[in-house]
Amino acid sequence: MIETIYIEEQIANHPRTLELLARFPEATRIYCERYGEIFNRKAQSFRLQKKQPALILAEKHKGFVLPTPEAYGIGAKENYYFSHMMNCLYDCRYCFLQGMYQSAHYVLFVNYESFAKVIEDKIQKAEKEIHFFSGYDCDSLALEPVTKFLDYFLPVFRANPDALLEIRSKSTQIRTLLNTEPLENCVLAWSFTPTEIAAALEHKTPSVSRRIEAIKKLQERGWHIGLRFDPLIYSSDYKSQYQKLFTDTLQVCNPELLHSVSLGSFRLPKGFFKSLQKMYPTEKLFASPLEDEHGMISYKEEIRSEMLNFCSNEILNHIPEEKFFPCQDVL
Amino acid sequence: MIHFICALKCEARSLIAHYRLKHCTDSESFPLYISADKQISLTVSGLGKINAAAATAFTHAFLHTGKQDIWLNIGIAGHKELDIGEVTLAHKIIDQSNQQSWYPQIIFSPHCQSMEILSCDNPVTDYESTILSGAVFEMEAAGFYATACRFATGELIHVIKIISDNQQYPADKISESSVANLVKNKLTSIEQILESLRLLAKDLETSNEVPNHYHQIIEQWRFTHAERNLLKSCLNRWQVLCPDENPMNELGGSSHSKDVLYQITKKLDVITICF
Repeated sequence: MIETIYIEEQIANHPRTLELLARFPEATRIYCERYGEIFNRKAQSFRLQKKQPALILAEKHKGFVLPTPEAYGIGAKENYYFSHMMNCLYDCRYCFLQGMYQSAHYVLFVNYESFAKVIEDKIQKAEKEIHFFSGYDCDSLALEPVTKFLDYFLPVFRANPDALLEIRSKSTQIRTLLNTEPLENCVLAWSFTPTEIAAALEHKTPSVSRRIEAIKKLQERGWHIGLRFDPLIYSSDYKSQYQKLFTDTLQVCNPELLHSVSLGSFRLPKGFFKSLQKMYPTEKLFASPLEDEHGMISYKEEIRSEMLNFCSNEILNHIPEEKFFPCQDVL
Repeated sequence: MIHFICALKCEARSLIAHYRLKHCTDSESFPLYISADKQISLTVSGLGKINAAAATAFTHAFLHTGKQDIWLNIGIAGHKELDIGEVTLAHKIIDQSNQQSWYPQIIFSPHCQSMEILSCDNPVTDYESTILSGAVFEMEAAGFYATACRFATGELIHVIKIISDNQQYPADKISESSVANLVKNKLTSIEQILESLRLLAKDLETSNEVPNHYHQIIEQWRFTHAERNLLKSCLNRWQVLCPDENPMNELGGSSHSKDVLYQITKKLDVITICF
């Protein structure tokens, strides 16, 4: 899977680095001073690198925990996200990462302890309810056997029950979770688009049905579940497609363990959209009726409103309103 | 296109013969050879980083190379202990004079090993003490790579070195004919790497293609630079949504570029998208 591993010299002997390297004895090891020498350089092609991404082991020095955009959240006033990784195993055509980075290599920051310290500082200083989100710049679980992210971060949150951790994913790598006593303050959130759309746009991801199976198993174990219908993708059949998706997902969810449902329309910053469109000029998604509103590309207002209203109403047929969190910047 | 940069004529000889390249008499600054279909070029740079950089820049300017072109620096190199004739592909290039590094992106599985390459200012003869890191050493890669990265995407720029000398068989034993033979014997390895790169370059073609009818439209109506980009985007949408229809049929009454863009967009926005 990983044929090349770049290693920052200063973390070459970090225990997590050594453990990772032992997992890939055949991979070519290339040492560098800073990961920026390889990642996101000019004259790189995300599309080509995506064919065979390398793993870059690095140390993060700042920006461990960042505030989420204001409109995002599942109920708390104080919301932060953190990314132990940049880039994703999957290849979703709507993903902003393709527009944000010129590199498709996976950057893994091995100094988890530094993240944890900042997270704990934030928790101690928090005056209100505080939520932390993982899975913005990567899929939190997809590389779990390699990163051991859960092994480290779940205990951090178990020791801090006043803070909530959302782990967002499309993965079915749930073995660690099944072998772990569930945390009351952790939400495992799965992203979904309808089966037809997932097949067309979410390359290399587990199918919708396999994700639902993963949710079932985790619920049986007692984990809290979140469902994220974000981004909503327009198709002429979207009503029946989303109706089926909501039924398939929400009906399997135990109401007591369903923490929250959120949805948001497809939107991308204009610069990112242009990069994506250049990369995949014949992609059907980018041929959709889109418009530029204040530097964000999204569906034309009438489509956006119609979809959000329809989907909101459909979701509320299944769940109580207090569990529903539509992304406010698109309503 | 594929562009080979070789330091020496004897390194280039087998490539020129294999790809049936013809000397381009218009090129006065550097000896340049080109295939009949104009898809492969080879430039002989002369020794050293500066010559390699200059020859790369010259090739770009002379042939108007594209972003998805393939660039290969092929030549001989020394190593403390690698066998003579061993082929190596660079995964890291270090400029010995200032320790600056570059990392060629190997997005394929090469049949040969990849190595760190040290670009030196002068020929290396002290195999024991100079190369502590086990790197391959030569004199052009840093100049070539740093320059080629300005003209093409990094994944398509590579450095292939064939070991010509080591501690047991030092550089003073090398002759022009032995160098030519080393390259000749490794043409298959070079071709394997090229084949992988061709596949990658092909994948980029679609993102650089000019959509159908683009030239026809900009010849008929005057478009600003920004409008041309918008037109390309509209015509790409057209190719996706109604590939069997001709956009020109919609543009009969258009008097200027804005009309053209409006007519195309109006038609596209009502076409249903179905996943």
